[in-house]
Amino acid sequence: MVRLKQYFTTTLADYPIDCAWNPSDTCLAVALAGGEVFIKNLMGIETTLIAHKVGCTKVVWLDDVRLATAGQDGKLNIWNVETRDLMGSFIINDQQPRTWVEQLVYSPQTQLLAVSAGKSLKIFDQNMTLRYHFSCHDSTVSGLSFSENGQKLAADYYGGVNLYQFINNDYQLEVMPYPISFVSLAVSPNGRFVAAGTQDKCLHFWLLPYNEGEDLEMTGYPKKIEHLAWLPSSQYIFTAAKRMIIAWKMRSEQGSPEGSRPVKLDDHEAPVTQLITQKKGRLSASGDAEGRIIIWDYPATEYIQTEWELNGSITTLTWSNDEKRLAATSEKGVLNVWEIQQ
Amino acid sequence: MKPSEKVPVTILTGFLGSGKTTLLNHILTQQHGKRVAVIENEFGEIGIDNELVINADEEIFEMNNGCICCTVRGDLIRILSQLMKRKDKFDYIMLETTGMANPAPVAQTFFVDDEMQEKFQLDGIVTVVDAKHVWLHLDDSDETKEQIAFADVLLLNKTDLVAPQELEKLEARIRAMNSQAKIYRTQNAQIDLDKVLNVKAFDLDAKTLLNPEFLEEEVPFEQATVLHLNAGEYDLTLEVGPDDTMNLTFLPLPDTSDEAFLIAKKQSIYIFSEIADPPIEEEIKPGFHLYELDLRQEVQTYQIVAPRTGFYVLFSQHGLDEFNGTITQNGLGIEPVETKAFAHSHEHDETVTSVGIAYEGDLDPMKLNEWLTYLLREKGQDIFRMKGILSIKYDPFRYIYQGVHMLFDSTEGKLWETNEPRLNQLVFIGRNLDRTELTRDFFGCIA
Repeated sequence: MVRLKQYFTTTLADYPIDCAWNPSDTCLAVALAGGEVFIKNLMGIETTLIAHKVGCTKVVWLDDVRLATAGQDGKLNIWNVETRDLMGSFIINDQQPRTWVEQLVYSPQTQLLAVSAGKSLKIFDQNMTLRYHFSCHDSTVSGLSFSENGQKLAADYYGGVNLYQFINNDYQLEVMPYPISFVSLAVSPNGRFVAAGTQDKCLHFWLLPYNEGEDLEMTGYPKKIEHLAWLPSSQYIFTAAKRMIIAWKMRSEQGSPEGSRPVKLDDHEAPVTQLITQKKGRLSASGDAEGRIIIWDYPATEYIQTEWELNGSITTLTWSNDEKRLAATSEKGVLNVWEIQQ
Repeated sequence: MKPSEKVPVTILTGFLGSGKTTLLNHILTQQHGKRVAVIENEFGEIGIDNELVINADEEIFEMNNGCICCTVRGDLIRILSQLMKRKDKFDYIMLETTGMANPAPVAQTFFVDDEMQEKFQLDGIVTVVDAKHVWLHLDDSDETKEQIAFADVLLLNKTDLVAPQELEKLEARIRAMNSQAKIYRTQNAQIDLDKVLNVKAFDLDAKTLLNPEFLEEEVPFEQATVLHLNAGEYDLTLEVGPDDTMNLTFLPLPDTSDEAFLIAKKQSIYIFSEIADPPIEEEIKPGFHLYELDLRQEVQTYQIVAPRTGFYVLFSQHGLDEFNGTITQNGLGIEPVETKAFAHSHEHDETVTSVGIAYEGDLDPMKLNEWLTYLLREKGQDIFRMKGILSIKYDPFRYIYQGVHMLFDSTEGKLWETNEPRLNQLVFIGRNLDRTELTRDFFGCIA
């Protein structure tokens, strides 16, 4: 049985949008709607960076000191958290510089930082040197997802998914067309699938390497699939549509979900707002619009392992890198951290 | 989320250069106490000075729900969802479309997507029209017609560049296309903001919602001819006219009072919702029967039979004079006691038009549901907007309809007051609307 032990709680000054642990799990950064980033050192030191003029949309740590922040002012900023200095600032959409920077993902394995604003996708290396600039997307890039080894990056946009593969300082691009808008995207950790939730309530799978006509679609969802998360084995994917979490097993010969029995985990009584899995462990966590957080140990059991409540809708859930702690924020400005005890 | 907590959204349409951006800047710089987020689709002629300006991509896609005209805007759903994370930073959204945009996918987004319905209230569609240059587009641009047809508020902008008589002509033309929009004349898009913001055009829980000026009672006939006839047979002679056929009822009148005429008119409305048949042996007799006269021949004569001396009334689908119609007996002309015309003012040549129907009385819910289901399925593509306040038999509350193409919301409205006339009001705005058919089918739903 999994238990959550209260570690600390604190109040935030604004609506939290994103949250990230630094690599050594000693520091948490929380992106706020007003553009600030709240930083909490587990030794107890708290600081606030005025990271962007308007909303801060994403935060990722490049190492224990450097924090990348994305903003609705069109900028990607790099901060030294210890000195609070701005180390670099980058416009991501050169044609329309004020376009919101909405997506920011980092692969520790390849040390590539992918960031998008509108149709523009830029890839930086660890030294913040621009490695690639892709502006070949027909529409705004609405999702980015790396495979676990960081060699594959999927970018979805209205009209399809571009799959970028980075090998030996070069890249290959595979365009996987599909005429719809997407609301969620996740590359399986083993890099064999790209899964995407669509605006018209379907779950779409592309099998990699991509062959035209071999993609799959799972229908029958009553609502849009707004959250996707893979277990580290890539054998299960969790999907959240309103208050329902549905788990699919990749069971066919190709390892696809075809013929798989969807398992409904329907214990949330309010729409699910967050859904995450661990990168190494077997736990997943979900939060809902009424502040309830549930820890799952599926497929070991279909039953709830533990639950907790915060005041207000859950806006972020984040496992620490060692997966021994769970951080959650709520729309009422609560940041709470628990220790996981198994 | 309670309706009052929903964030209002105004859709702003109009061709590039019409003055949309000027209006936006006017809205943003006024001291109205509102913090406005702007979603814009194209770069206007001047920039917008606002921190909350978001570019959209016009990602239009068809919903996979079997509805062929149900297109929505994926980018708006995404942007508005993101904006809700900053909901304490703004309290109004202006959504600017491209000059060439069809407003339907934008409006439909607020009907189709659960999250949008839950968190946002579509306040109204404001269309800015360049009064000088719109003539260039009015005849051949579907987009211009659609933007006018969809509007709740129309700004005839740049009026200083147009002569007054031209402006009158333009307003009349636009009014023929959209009878329900509020039209304001502006220069440099200067207008009181309460005329374009918080107009609550999609909030139909209002006692009187529709523009009454354009809701004179609609009837499925264009003329009533009151006759005094002695017992006997008369010739109704008609020549070739604007239609191959004409439907007609023939009813006795006890006298020429308004009350007697009103009863006959209501009876005829019922009869006109029935299937019409040709007169047997060319005879038209008084009674509850809808006759279909075949008028393809150069001259066609039917016999009107008056079984007894007294007053009678003919309700005809068209005016008899449109067919050079005469009523004679033994070669002598019979002059009508009175002729009444209906629905003349709505005739025009626009492909995009409004049809308004008003009727005091109750409707049968089953018949209404069947009709609206059929109508939206078969004609939904051509019906841009539909609004209605309806009186359902035995229901103490108003029944309120609001639709964009095939999508519609229906809700319970306010209570009908005791002794208050239960007036049905229904308006369609769309392309190639068949007024006669819509009116006839509506009257077929009377309880």
